[in-house]
Amino acid sequence: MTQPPTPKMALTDLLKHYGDAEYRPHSLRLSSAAMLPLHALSAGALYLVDIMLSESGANQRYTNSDGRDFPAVAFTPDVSWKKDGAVRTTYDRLSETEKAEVLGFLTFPIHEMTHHVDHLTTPFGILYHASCCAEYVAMQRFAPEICSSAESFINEPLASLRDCPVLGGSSAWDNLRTWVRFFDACRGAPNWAVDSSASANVQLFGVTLSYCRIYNSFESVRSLAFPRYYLRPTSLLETRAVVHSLRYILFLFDKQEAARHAIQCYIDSYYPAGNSTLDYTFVLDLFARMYSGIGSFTQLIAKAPTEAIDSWLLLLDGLCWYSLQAPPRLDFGSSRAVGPVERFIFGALHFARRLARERELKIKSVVSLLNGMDTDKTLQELGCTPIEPSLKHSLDHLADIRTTSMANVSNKNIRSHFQHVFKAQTYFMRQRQGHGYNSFTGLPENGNVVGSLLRDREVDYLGLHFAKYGYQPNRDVVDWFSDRESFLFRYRFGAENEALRNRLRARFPPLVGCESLLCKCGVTVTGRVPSSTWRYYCRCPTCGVRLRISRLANS
Amino acid sequence: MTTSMEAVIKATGEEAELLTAEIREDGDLAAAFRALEQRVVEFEQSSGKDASALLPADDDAGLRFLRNRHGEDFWRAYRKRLQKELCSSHGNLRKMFRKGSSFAGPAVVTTIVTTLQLPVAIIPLFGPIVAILMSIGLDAFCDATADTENGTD
Repeated sequence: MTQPPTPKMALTDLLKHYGDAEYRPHSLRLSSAAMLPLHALSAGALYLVDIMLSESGANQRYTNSDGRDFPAVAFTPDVSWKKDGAVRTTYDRLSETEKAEVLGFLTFPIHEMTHHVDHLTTPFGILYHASCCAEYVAMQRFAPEICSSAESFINEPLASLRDCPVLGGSSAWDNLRTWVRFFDACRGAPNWAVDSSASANVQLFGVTLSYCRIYNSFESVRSLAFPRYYLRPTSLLETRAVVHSLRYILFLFDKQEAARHAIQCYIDSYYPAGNSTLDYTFVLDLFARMYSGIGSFTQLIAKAPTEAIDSWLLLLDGLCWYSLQAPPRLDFGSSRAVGPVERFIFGALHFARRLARERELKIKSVVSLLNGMDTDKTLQELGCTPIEPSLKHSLDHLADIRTTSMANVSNKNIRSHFQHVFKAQTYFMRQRQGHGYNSFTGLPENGNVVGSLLRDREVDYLGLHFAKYGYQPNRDVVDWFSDRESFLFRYRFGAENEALRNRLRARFPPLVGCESLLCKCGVTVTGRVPSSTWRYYCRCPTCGVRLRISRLANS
Repeated sequence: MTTSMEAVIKATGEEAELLTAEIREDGDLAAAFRALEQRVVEFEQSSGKDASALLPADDDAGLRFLRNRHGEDFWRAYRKRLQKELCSSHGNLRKMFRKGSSFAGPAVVTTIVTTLQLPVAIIPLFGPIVAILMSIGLDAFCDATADTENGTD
């Protein structure tokens, strides 16, 4: 069936459109708003994109299941716009808003695919999805409890509740809360959950940052200038996505002077100072100050040579990549390991120390710089696990999760989804072993993560739904992640709350008893499982042996 | 209903009345959208939470290319949601609006809070929303929403 033509969009409409577009890490999907058809662009912007496609020899357009084009230009990254070439000349003739339109259109897939890569190919991604799986298992115990009466089914976001009498003393809630709060801390915990009483400060590039603890579990820092914001994993993810987009723009302009104006146009249109959330700008502004006399990212763009801007972006990309390699469990081995945010701060302090010592960071490549950081004694003592042990630990953790948490997911569709995720992550961890921080997809040349994916023939393995063998999560999986979001992170009112309660009751049947099992170490293990399942896998609390216990036959 | 909740309802209702007067004087809804934007910012500052917590979840949470944070966007998100709840021909709100135009802001807010069982934290957002309802009337609100649903907005 032919799609009706989409009206041409002005930049304001495009901004609204992209405001709704997002990558959904839990279900590995792009929102439908991400699929902006080429012909929705204004005439000037469309003309340029068409020339770019034909010049680069891109004769294929990727089409998703709705029959809409995925921006194909991003799949042909290795052709920059030659000075005086047709594309550059056309670009120069466009209005400012058309230029912004083109740049947004070209970089949008890079931005969102960076999130996809970060969630599937890094130890942080393993922590994310493993927590998500453990959270589902915890929900199997908690949901039947809270859904039992309308009074206990509160309509506020459970994730950020401080005190709740109806949940007090519930061991199922205590268990679920551990996982839920990890996600809440990643995206932004409430004020009450941020403990800044440590009063320890650190100076980074002339900025005073104070240490804080989120939910009494996760370490972070906050700036005195933004007392309600703390540095969080989402900021590191968004920084990488913006950095890749900016590096791609620099590449298009061959890192020539014209790139400066393009970047300014891009930032002014999509991430204007004061009107963007700090997740997109805080790290950029902080890191820009590593240059003396520079106070913000926009100043850096205005003053630094374009080659230097590219090197700076590469360095920042590398540091964020380094941060995401924190092992998924921080209590493994004999010493304590640090999480992504601390790793970022310690890595940045390492850069600052080197800058003070050497005046200029002379590096062969960002990968060699990061590999070199693994041998730094100070970083090791601070708990920054070197890359190879972290990858090894990630694989062990994946194996463990697949035989415990994942095996205990009673819903076949949800279990199968996690199976897909963990299989892909295992593949990437194995691919990366022995290569240190090197990764074509993680640290893409020119910032174009989508092009790097295709070059590596890994696009199908990453489960992109527009790829040939792309992954489409089952409807049941999509529904669960939507209900999860509503239940744990949103305010609800009216009929919506009761409807959600009914859906959760249907999804999570009551718990029934399991038979007792005597472990070899002498400890008796028992449990309760959803009535929809027969088996339960756990580890003996004393000796750690994996046990399989069965549901009582008469329950 | 607790005393603190009553105080929030009273303040929200009073704000709705002031905004209604402003909307009638200006002849457009800009003042309400500005106020809604302000309430959203206040929510973010007082709670430390992102404003997305206020919106209905129609899908999994995602990482966005950029963030819009305009009062009008919130109004659009809530309008559809409220239509389902408030436009019933037998609802308390419909009865109240039928009685005439002498109702006070706090009374409308109370009816909405009770009907929808609103959490306290989001009641202040309903000041500008009630002002829009009081300015254009419930019939116009429900008709406009129905038009939007039919794609004629």
